[in-house]
Amino acid sequence: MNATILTSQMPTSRFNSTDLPIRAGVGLKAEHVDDILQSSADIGFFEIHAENYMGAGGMPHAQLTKIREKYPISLHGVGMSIGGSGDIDAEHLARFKTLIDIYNPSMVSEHLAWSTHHDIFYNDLLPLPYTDETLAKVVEHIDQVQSVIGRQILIENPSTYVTFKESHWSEVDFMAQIAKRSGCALLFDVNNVFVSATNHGYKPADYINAYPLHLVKEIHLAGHATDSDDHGEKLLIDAHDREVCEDVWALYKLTLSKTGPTPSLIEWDNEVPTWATLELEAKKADAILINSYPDSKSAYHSQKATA
Amino acid sequence: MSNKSVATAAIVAGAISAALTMSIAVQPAHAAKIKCYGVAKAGANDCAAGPGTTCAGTAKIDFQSNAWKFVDAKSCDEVVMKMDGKTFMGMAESSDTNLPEKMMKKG
Amino acid sequence: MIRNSKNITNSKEAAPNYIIRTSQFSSALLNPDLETPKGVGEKDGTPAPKRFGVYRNNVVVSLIEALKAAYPSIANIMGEKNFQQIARFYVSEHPPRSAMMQIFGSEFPQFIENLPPLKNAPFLVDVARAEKAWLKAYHTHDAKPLNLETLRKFSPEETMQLTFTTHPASHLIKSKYPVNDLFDFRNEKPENGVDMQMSQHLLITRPHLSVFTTALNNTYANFFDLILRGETLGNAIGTSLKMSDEFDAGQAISLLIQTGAVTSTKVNTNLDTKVHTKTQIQNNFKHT
Repeated sequence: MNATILTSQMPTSRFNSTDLPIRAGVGLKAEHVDDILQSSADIGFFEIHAENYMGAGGMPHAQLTKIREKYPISLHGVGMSIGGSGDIDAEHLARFKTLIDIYNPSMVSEHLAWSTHHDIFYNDLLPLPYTDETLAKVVEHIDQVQSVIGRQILIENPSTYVTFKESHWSEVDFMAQIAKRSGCALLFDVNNVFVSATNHGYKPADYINAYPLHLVKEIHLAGHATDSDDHGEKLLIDAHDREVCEDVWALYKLTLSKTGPTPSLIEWDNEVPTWATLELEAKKADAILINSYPDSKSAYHSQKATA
Repeated sequence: MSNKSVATAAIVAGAISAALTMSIAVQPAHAAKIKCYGVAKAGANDCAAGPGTTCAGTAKIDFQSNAWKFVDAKSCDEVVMKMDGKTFMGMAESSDTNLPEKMMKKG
Repeated sequence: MIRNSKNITNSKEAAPNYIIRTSQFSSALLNPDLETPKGVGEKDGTPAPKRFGVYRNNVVVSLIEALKAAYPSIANIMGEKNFQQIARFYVSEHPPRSAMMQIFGSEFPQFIENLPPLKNAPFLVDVARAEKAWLKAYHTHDAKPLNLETLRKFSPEETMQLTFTTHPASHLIKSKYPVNDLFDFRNEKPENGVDMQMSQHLLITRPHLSVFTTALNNTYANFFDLILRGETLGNAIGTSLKMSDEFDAGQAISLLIQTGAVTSTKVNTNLDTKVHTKTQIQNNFKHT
């Protein structure tokens, strides 16, 4: 399915369709909007959490409209419960579609996780076992989302703290299977790889080497917190509350060496810093992105010019 | 109801004319003070994990027993206090995070 | 559902099917007294309460924080620990039914009202109602407030019969308590305390993007109450004049426009021009 062709057919949006520029983007926070607009911040794109713009009107939509006039956006759902055992909430999906129709985002993504069960929304990205049964369920849900919104979505690999004894697929193979069976693309969260690898005792580089990276259309980067598990061993928490750590920057470079230049997002959701700090973090990612071009900077600048 | 209206067309139309001449800054004495609070923090979904392994979510709870009884009648009495024959509420202690401990000792 | 799952997990090999898995998992999330689900934890499925606790904390803490963000005045009035306890209870009794966090907590005012430990703090209910209305106003759909010039085109006789369409953000909180001053706790602790004997009413409006709160005394609150209930301008002014000498109709209309409480007006053709008696007004206030 070609996302660009489908979006250009949507008549409802007042915004032009664009691909995400191959640059660093930043997760949009309401408190940064004034700084961003006043400084005409040089940022590749902004990612928004869909649920935050599902209200009927007011400030959130006014802010997003202004941002969208100047920047491409990526729409990232956090509450679809793609990995849920029950049905997708049709009302939620309809609201999701409405947002896409209005703002015409360059990318649409969701998580390999569940958050709703028996009509209760748990406000967290909860883990699922990797079995044939859950694979079929996830693929069915992605199919449903893609057919309702009329375009391809990206699915993000999770940070997890537990595993299920019944899992008989590896996470890497599971991700490859859902993409193969549903036609979705993948959002590769490098920090999640590092967090899950540490928590479950495997090497993040092994995960990256085995991953179907040719399906990756966007990368996420974030900071994490350190805690300890039941045996006092290190347990990492996907807290999005600080800078990206050196290990994750290194894995990011490894990833880019395999994917080629890919739009990359800095996520910082807790202990939200000043706009200046966040912008610096994005510049760091931009610098690494430039170097990932085989033909270095010329390609980057042509990308930037078309953005 | 037989109440005769005390408002006449002249009064109402006159009031509209008066309103038209009023500066936007004018507010009725003792009637109103208009305030505006900033951007709502509420209602923000995100995809980050929270506080790790130790805190509220894992604490045992028993709402039927004494576990949370420190939120009792005393707590609000403590916040509401009498001054000069009038009852006042708040003062510095109201959002003092130590206040609940004070209450617990009393409770 | 949970009982079924026991039967299945007791049989040696079979892992529970996915619906049961998510049922077990979600029951244990909100209830820390339940054991963590079997087969969920470390690599071999050994239960790991600390690991599972990360999810419990994410869920419970994020929801408490969401409630606190929606009710900052209540949280500041009761203090952090009291609020945490009450919010924790609320989260287990009224978990969200929607992924839209901006509507989470809508049952909180009623929850507070029915909470025995807060029975002697009835003012909290009014503050919670005001905070709920504030947040609703913040997110509600955009609507253009009525322009004062529009009122000019009516004849004096027609102005008597004008009725107004309430703006979707508008909400009047009538209270026996100083609800405006208590609402202010979201900003800063009032230096001189709050006079608890004073009754205030709070009009919440959103003429453009920012939400406005307007403290009203009895007379002006009554005027707005009548207008928002669809009474004619003539009735609202007449009743208010009757209620109090200090009522200034010009200022009331000016305030109606400034606050953006209404969006449009039309001449009401139903000529029943009743003026509310003082007793009726007082009854109206009692109902809230």
